[in-house]
Amino acid sequence: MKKSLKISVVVIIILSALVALQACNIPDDEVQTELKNAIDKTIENGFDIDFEYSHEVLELYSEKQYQKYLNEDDGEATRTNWNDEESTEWLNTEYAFSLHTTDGVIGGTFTKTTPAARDEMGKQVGQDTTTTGNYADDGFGGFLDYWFSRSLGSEAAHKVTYQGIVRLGMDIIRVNIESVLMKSGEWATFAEDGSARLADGTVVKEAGAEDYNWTAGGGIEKVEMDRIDYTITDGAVSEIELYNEHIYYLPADQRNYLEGGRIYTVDKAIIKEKESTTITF
Amino acid sequence: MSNTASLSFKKKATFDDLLDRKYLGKKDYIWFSLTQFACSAITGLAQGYLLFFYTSIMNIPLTYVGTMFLIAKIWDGINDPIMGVIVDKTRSKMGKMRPYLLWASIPYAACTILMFINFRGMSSVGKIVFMYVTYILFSTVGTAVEVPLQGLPAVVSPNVDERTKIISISRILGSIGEQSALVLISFGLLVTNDNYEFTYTGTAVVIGVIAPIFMVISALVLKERIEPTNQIPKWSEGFKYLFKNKPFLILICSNLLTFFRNLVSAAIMYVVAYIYGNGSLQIAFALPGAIASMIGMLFAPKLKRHFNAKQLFIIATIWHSVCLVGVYFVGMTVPWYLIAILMFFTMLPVGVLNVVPHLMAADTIDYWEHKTGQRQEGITYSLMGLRSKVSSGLKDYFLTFLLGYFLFSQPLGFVEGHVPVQSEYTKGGLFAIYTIIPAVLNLVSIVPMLFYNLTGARIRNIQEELAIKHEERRLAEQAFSYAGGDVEEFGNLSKPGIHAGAVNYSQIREVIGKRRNAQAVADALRAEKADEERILDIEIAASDEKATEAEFSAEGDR
Repeated sequence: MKKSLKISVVVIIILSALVALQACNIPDDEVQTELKNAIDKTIENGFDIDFEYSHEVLELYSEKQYQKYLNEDDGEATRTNWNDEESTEWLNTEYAFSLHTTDGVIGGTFTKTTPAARDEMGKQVGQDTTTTGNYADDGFGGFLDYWFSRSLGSEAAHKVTYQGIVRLGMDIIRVNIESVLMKSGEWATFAEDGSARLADGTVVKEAGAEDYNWTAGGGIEKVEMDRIDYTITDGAVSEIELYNEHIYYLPADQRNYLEGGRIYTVDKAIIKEKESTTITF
Repeated sequence: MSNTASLSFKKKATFDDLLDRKYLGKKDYIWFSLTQFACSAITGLAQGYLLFFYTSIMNIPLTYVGTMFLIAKIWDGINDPIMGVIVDKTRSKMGKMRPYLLWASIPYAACTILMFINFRGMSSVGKIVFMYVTYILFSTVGTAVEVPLQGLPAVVSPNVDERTKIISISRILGSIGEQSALVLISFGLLVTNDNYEFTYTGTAVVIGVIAPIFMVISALVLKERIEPTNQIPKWSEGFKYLFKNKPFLILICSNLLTFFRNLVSAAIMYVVAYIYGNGSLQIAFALPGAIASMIGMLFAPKLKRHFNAKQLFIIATIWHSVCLVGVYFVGMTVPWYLIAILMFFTMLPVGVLNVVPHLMAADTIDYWEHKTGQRQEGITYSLMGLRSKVSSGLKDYFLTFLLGYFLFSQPLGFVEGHVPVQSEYTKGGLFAIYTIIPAVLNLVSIVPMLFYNLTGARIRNIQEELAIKHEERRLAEQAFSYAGGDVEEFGNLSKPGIHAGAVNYSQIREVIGKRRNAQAVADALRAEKADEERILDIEIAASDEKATEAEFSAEGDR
């Protein structure tokens, strides 16, 4: 075989591999359109589905923690530590949805189970409560409509990014939504460069920075990180997997090894809320 | 015995006589293996823990660290073949490999320790500069140690079985060495109550102090028994050699493609952390695999007696792939220990696959010497090292691509100790990266190997002829030395040109003959109690180029 032919074969193999790797991705400018079309087609096709949705919140029992640190006799019993597993607990609010479409409109019912309240020692007070209502009164203004709307980037305050990949017989589109809620109740708006600013222009997050300037603008209430995976089969959504975390800046223990392991308290980014569901159409 | 007789004796030596001769003692095996252990301990520490040290202890931004690793890897790729040629150009009393092991090992260890020190009060820019300087220095000095170290087995013995044995044993110790950082750091964190900085620096000091001791002793104890050929390679020959030595090119191509196999070990951390939700299971998954791999290495020499290297490579690759497919179909929902047990059997052939390419590389060196008269261990093993680095780079790139393809969620940088919850699709993908993807793609490495033909009678004949040639050379050199010649003069009588390094026996016989005759005359005169001063003149003349004149002059005196 001639040298030039050998080189050509190698180049063709490398190029083919690169093309094959590239073909695994849906082009960036097509992802959002494909998702919108898939959502429209799903509603147009109609569905009748049941699914559960879980919303977990981290609770801290201050008296329980105080007693614990008092027993440990560390002289700093009054500190607050959201990183202590013994005096915190995840409480789960569960929703059960039963939804369908009628003439291209989503409707149905939901059942919400709220955990019983706890006292400051973490002891249950009363019983879990269950409420039932119509889809539109579920607290989201319609759960599916709410997430479809957010996923399509309808609200400018949220930074929405997409990633689309091609698998055999299906496409998967991941939607990441990043939002910053200020203590004042307003959402920080994301600019093109990735920085986040308040309405008055105060920067709460620098472009390219991973951390948040949580003291600006009266401080950040929480950062929401939503992740929604849409599996698209035959142009319609066949499955949605949603998971999100809400991060708050809360006081927590910090150990200083240089000073003999002394413990002090600082505000840290801590996950305080989690939501998840899987919906199969 | 006359010189003619000694030369005719060696020609009668059979292949078995020559190849069965033992050259290596216990101390050779022990010290070389301990050196491999030490070297692997350093690379295991640097490859496994330096990224974490830079980003989580020195707090250097991830992008700076990533860029530095990229630049250092490119430099590493360049300096490997350069070091290979330097080694092949080296001619010294210690040989061409050992001087580097002797003199570069201490700086190598010092750089290892230095990299893991977080100097207080250093500015951010200072830390970045410090990182660049120490890491690039570390990789440069590391090349000066590793290239000769990898080439040593090919020159310590002409006996193929001994070479196989020393490579296998040292690889096993090397695998243990690689895990030593894991053990020391796990133990250190336990004792210091998770004091990462102290543990990391302490581990680097322990390894950095012990490692050069083994390396220096090894450099002093081992002998390079296969003499370097006389033609000194040119700098430009490095990459040309790769394309001219066809079996070696096939070996390199096949080995480059084995990067798919390395996805298995690279994926362990992801599997335990995100599928089984427990990062500390890493040791439970990695250690049985490492032990299985060592057992595989242990059996490689025995298997080599029943199969040739090519057959071993193909069988082990298929075995590994079939087992990985099996694990994939068992699934990730079974208890983790079942997967860990199954992976033990899956990793057994990997031990064989770790040894076989080095055995084949030694064969390609013999092939090249047989063809051209040149032995190029330095460039061969530097290119093997380069192959390993390119393969590692491809593995990292492909792993990054696969993680993206399976929509892997990275930890949030601003949440301390954040462990992201992965989607079911991602978990399935991580398990596929660990099992079926390397299983299928690993088979591609067999394709180039199908064209490898240094097997059976062909390589045996080559090694038989080389063994006789080496023995002839050794005996001729010995006879030449007895006759008063020195090594340098002997080297000058070797053939130049395409068969450089081959001995010019007729010329050597002539010189030996003249010298011996002159010595015989001197002995005869001493027996006749002739003038001692005159005898001394003849003896001195016998050892220099005037041997012939002295001989004639003495004859005339008598």
